[in-house]
Amino acid sequence: MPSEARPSALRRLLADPLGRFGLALVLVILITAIFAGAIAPYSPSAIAIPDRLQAPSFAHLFGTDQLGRDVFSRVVLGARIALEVALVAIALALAAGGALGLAAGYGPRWLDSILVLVFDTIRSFPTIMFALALVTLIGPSLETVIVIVVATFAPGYGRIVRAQTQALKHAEFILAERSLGAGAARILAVHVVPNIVGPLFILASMDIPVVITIEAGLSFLGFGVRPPTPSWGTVLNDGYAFIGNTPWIIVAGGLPLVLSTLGFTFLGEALRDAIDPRLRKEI
Amino acid sequence: MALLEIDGLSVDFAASQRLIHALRDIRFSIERGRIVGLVGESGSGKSTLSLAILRLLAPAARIAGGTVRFDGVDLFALPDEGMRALRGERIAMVFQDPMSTLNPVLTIGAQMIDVQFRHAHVARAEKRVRAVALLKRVGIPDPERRIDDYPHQFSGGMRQRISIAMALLSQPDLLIADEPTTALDVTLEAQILDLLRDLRRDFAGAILLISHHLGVVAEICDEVVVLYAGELVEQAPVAELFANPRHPYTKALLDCDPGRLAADARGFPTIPGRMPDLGEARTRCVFVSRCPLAIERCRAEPPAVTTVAPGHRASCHLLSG
Repeated sequence: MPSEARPSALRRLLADPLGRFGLALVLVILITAIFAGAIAPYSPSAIAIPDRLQAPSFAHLFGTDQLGRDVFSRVVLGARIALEVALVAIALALAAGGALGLAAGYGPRWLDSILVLVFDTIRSFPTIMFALALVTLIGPSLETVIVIVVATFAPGYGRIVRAQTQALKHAEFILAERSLGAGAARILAVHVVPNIVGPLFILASMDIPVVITIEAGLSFLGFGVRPPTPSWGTVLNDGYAFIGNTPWIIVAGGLPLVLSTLGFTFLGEALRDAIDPRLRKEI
Repeated sequence: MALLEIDGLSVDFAASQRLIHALRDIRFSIERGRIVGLVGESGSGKSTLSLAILRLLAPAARIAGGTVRFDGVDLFALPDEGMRALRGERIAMVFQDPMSTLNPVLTIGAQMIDVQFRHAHVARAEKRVRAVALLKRVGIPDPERRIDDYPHQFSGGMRQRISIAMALLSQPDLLIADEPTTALDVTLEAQILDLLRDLRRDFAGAILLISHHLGVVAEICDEVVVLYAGELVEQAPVAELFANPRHPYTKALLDCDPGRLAADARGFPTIPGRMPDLGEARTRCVFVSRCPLAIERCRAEPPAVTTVAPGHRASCHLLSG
């Protein structure tokens, strides 16, 4: 019997062409974000009015915008902002939703009812309306975007964790653990959480592009990161005004959004197929 | 003083409209070092009794009366923390289905080390050594290597051995084994029973063995308690019970044991009828509807448990005269 489950899951992931493609895209985006400062040839906010709205060339791979800023450099640094928001916000949403979901799923029924009510109330709010309200209250910033994303995603994770916890709560191995004297904290930390992190992480990886899109969308509308900071959404907004004459700006802002969505979605789906034994084509 | 004294224990389940009396007025005790078999058909309350002792009953169940004393301590009067301190440390349990009693995503080593959480001062390496020793003790081959395997890499019989090893890690005074061999095939059953019998020699505690298999009980128990429809109908030392069953239900149960059939028997005998409605009030003998010897009095009042011989008790009007 093979005892190494992890390498074989990775091998199955790489055997899937979509998995390889997704992994490659995600790696490219990650490397771009991490080494953005070294990759970008210009400062993303260096204004050069004489060079404004230039077509793509070897000097400016994606051309320049209306202030003469290098679009390629802005897109490269935008990757860092996009991933920063996505990873931080998803991690916070997972932590908050996970903790509340565990409490709802394992705790007393009254607590469950209250938390489910809270989850559903938050989920019933349209994201954009909630975002507008929050931006009006605390002003547009990176942190505002993160707060919006956490509030939007945490209830969903909470509901999933709650359902999984409730299903596990009555599993016989949990009863067996209780019969050996384990308390609630130990059962949740040692036995429930390891059983639910796998599917939760896959779900989270598929939510990353959604968050990237939300960040870009809010920045496009002017509710996200502040203008001097490069974001794919602000690049899109810059290009939007000149779409007739200089369409490359909007392409340069939109393409990374498409590629990151494809990359994370393919990777997430391939991971799910590789890890879930029921979806395996062979044993 | 007996290790475990169950006195008048009654457990009710709240059903949609009424109460189901899962256990009624159960009274027996277990001495140190003894193996007591608890037999009865499905639904007779065997598992409810074991979970009631551990206070792990489902939320719908309620202790309706009685006490359980463990080493002189009233378990139902203990605070939750006190009860939790007893579980696994002094009373441990082995469950029926070994396929679902181990956490599928953790190695058995991780689970066996974690379950020693009370010994905070003991190094992890030492806990691992103890786990390996117990795995070896319950007959897992090559335990040093296999301790890092996951539950799905073991067969059902092996997993039941691992469950037993986990329950024995803290050397409990009382081990409750709830049909530990029911989910296993016959050869594995024999191996697990050999293991339990072996354990008796160096394990000083008592064992409450729940089973609906009379052969199992006959082989390793010292004493037998027979439950029917949530009531104790007979209790006797094992040899006495098999040689001289006094309650009509026990007799019928023994007649149905495939191991005791004559070689030329055709078909399996059964007990005609079915168990009474557990929601009924206790106004007559629980076995009356299926009893071949029932008399008028059986329909009129429930019998009391009477002592028919030293250590032998049964509840039947025909015995109380």
